[in-house]
Amino acid sequence: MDKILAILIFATVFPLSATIYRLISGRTIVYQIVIFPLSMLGIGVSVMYASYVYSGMLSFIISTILAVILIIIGLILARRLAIRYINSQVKSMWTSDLSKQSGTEEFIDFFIELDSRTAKLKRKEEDTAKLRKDISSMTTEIEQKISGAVERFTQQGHVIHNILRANSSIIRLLKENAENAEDIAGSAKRSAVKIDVNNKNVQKSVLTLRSIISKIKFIDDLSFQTNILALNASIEAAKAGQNGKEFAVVASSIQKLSEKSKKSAAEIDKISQSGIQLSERTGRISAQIVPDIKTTAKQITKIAETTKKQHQEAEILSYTIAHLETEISHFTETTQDINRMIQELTDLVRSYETQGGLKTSFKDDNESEFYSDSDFEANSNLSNVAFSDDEFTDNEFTDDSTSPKNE
Amino acid sequence: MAQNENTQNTYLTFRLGTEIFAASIDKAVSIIEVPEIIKVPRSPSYMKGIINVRGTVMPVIDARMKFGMKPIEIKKRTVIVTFRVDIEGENVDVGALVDEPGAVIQIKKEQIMNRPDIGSKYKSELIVGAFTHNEQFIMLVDIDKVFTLDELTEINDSKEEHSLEEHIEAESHK
Amino acid sequence: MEDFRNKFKEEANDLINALENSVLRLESAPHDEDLINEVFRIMHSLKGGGAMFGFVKISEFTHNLENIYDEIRNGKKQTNIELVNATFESVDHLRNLLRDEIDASIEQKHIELSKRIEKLVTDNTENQSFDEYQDMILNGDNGAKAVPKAGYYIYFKPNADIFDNGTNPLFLIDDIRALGNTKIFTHLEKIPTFGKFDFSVSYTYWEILLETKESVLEINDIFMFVEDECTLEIKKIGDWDLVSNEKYIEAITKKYSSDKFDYQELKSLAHTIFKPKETEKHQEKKVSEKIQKFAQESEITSIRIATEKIDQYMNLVSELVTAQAALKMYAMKTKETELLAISETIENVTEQIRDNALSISLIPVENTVTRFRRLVRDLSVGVKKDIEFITEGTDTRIDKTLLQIITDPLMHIIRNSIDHGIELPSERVKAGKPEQGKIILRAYYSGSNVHIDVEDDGKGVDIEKVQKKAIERGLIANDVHLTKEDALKIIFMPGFSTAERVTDISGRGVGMDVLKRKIADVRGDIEIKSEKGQGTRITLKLPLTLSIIDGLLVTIGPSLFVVPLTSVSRIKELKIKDITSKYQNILVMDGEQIPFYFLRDELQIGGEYPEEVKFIIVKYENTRVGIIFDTVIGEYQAVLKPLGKLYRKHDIITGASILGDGSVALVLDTNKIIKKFSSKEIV
Repeated sequence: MDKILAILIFATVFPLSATIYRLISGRTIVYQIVIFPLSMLGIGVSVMYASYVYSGMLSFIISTILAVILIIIGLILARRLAIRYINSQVKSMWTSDLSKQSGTEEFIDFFIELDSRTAKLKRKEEDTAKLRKDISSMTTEIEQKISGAVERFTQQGHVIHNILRANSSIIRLLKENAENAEDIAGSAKRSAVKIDVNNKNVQKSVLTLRSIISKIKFIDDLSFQTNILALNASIEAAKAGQNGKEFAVVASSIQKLSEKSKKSAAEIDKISQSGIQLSERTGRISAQIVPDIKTTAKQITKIAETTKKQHQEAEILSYTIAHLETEISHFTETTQDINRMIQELTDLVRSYETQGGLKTSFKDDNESEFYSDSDFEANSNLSNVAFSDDEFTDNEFTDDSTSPKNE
Repeated sequence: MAQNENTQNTYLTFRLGTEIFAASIDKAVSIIEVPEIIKVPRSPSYMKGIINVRGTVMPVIDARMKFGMKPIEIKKRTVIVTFRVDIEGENVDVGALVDEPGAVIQIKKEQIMNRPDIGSKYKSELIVGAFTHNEQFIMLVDIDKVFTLDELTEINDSKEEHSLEEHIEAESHK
Repeated sequence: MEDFRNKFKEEANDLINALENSVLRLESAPHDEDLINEVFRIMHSLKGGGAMFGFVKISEFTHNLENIYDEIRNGKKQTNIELVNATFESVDHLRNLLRDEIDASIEQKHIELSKRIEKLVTDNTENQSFDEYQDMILNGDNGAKAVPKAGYYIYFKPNADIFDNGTNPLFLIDDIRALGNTKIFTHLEKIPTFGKFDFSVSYTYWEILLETKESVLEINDIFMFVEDECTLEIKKIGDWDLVSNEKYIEAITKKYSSDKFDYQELKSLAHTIFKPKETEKHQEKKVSEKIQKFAQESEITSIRIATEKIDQYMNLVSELVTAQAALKMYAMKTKETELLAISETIENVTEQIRDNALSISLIPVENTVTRFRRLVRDLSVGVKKDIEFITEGTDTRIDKTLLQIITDPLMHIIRNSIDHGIELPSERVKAGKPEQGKIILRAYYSGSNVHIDVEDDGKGVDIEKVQKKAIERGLIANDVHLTKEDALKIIFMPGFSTAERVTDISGRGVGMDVLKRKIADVRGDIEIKSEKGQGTRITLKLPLTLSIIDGLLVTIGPSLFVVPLTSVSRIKELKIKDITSKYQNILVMDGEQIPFYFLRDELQIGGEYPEEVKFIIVKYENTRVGIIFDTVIGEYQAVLKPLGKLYRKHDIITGASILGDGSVALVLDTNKIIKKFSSKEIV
């Protein structure tokens, strides 16, 4: 029983881990092309083993045949899926991020056509010669087209790279801008608070001045009343004649005093009034400033926020562009692979031309496809490195493109 | 008092508008702050009303209107000068609203000039003389007349007020 | 000193007025002892005062008059017309003399009158009491009269050894004689025959009747040093001039005996002689008069107060009333029981003080009426008419200011009566009336008013004459026929005077219209009733006082008014919309058509009447008029303050009143409002 368990575990863990890998890496193509047939193979092997263990030889043979069939089906499916994936990738890339280019459409269409033609090739052996010719001409055409596409891609890669570069500096600037805006907003807020305090002080001083004025008014009233009193005394004194003379002197001096206090009160009043006016003006101005500053701060904060958002969006953009870049590089790799594969195909076709016989070619073709897939895997890593260097990729492409041309 | 003050007379000054007037101290009784003035209906406009002065009812006139000026506005400095005037041989206490009280001053008789020639600017029959005191031109008023020439004023009030006002206005613009 | 002189002048003026009054009455009752005494007393006072304050002429002048009246008083003389006339002239002259400046004409008059009076004095040679008056002049006012003379009986019998210490009894007798009139009875009976005569022994003794002003003590003093060396009896017989009386002396001389008089006998004799007889009565009277006079002089029952001071007092009282009202308001607000109690007490006291102050300011009509007596007398003589002037109810009291104000109008009315009313004696006889005309001045209270009637029994108002005059003056159209009532009303119209010729008495252009206005000035009214051939009666209706009004405190907008309560007949609350819709401002109430009056518009008070208004019906005579106010605050006793001369042309408002909180309310003259209103109706 533990054996069955082991098989089941093997059968489940392998695809599961593959799926997990897929999820982590996001690279569906690997899953679809490599892991899916492998897991199929795994399942088939485990079914074979299980039937051998439990059902004897006959069932083993049956199940082996079944497994082989499954593997073959898996391989065919994998290949189809891989092609479709690349198709969709390239298509989505062109439609989503870059301006539509008729070449690309044609290119994609061509691939589809290629695919169908290859299938046709498999079925129609009698047309092989004709096909070979066709293929040969088609491959040259493909070569030409691919090399043009590669060239365009490289150019696009340049542009995108430049965009990416420019974008990153924009992002940097935006970040700085947001930081600065935040700083300004902070200091504006602080100054608003400060002005607020200042304003309160001004108000306080106005209040003080007002109370001074009211006191002064009291003094003024008092001096007014004293003045009246003194005047009345003067009148009485004047009427008393000679006897009132001394009294009149006192009265008039009181009057003078009250006059003086009236004057000084008036002066203090004037000063206080002007003080009040000044303070009030200051208060008014700072009161006006505070909301101004506050709105400025608000606006600046808004700016900061917008900049931040912009920054985020730019980052997203940048990420997308980077993603695009990788995708393009992948694509480039793929195109290179395709290019290679086509070359191989060309070679194969040439060899067919010289050898004849379809069956081996079909088998070879299948094998080569299979291998080319794995090669493609290995090569993609290489080209990835190569892609980072413009010069190199350019050379490689030119080399690649020139080599079949030369032949 | 008459003997030793032959050469000097005492006056009480007060301001009406921009002019300073003086009245004989013998006629003045006191200066009071402006209390509530009760308007007596159907009385001439210069009769401001009556006031309660320590339990007695005293009529109050607008001194400015009496001199043909604009009606007085009661402000902080406005006071009532109460006079004891002779109306038909009877001593009557009356109040006059003035813009500001002045001072009690002594003027030598020879300092007093004859009635100034001020034309129709102020009711000249109320002014009996003028003098200069502390570089200020002061007009001497016959208080009895101020309060008794009511019929005259009443008639003139309606007829002349406007033109007088304009006149004063014109004067002040100069 | 000037002050005293002024005081004396005031007093003298009063005395002269009283003198005039008395003399007027004396004229009709020449033998009234009270009146003669009165005249004498006044003369005496004038003389004393005049001497004291330097009015030498008055003093001189009155001295002789006083003498005459004293003689009349003593029955030595009779009043005669010449004397009364002279006295009248003297009254005028005395008034002139009181003036500080005496001009030549007065001087002339003085000399002339003095001569006339002197002549009157010398008419009667008997002038027994001259000395007494001489004394009076010397001693000033309170001279001889103050201390009465008394009769004493002195029995003086020196001891036999009196000569031993060098006393001469004769000197003592001389001393006694110096005290006054004496009747000395010297007893020489005890002197022995010549052989037994001892020079060192005193045999003589004396009985003396002394008539002196000095007291018993004074007499005793004479015998101070001989008291132990003599037998002494000093007894008072009575307050009579014993020695001067011949009858008495004669009587007692008969009683003279060798021993001594019986004191009781002397006394009873004196009584029999002085008491039952005229002299007795006279004497007693004199005594009572003296007591009265003394009381008058020593006990101050009344004092003179300057009218100015009374005015001041009244002002202060009204201020007190105001302050008290303020206190009450505050106390009510605080609701402190103690404070409320105090405020209530103060309120009571204040009310009493106010009433008291009012009564002080009210003086009897008498004071003024006296002047009219003289007026009537002088004028009737001038126009050769015989007129009796009768006064009734002159003790009716009225506000003194009011009295001053109505004096001239009254004078005018009386003049009119004399000039136009009373006929000449011949005419009167023809008309079947007594020769002597009558003018009655009657004062009496009527509610809160004082009425003063001037009534004459003259020819009355001639309606036809009035009509003719009215047409002549253009007061009425030619074809209008006046009814009696209208004619009487026309008399009060300006520019109407029926006197045919301008005399010095009336017809000077100031007619009844002036009179009417003057009376109206003091919230009074004038009424005339006349019956042709029977006489005229003019009635002045005056308020008791000018200073207090019982009123209703009402409001229109922010303004406070007082409506005299006497004129308010009803208060109704009405909706303003019910009133404004009324045709021609007439409201029917209890079947009576009452015209009404929007005072707010009339007085040009701004604002609108509230929804609910107070409709106050005021009456004047037979007219009832409604006046519309905002609210009624309540009853209020208003101390009326005149608005002063500056507002004298104001018709509807009588004065102002200061309320407890110091605010001022205007007092409405509803009579004027009604009159104004009804006159408007006609027009």
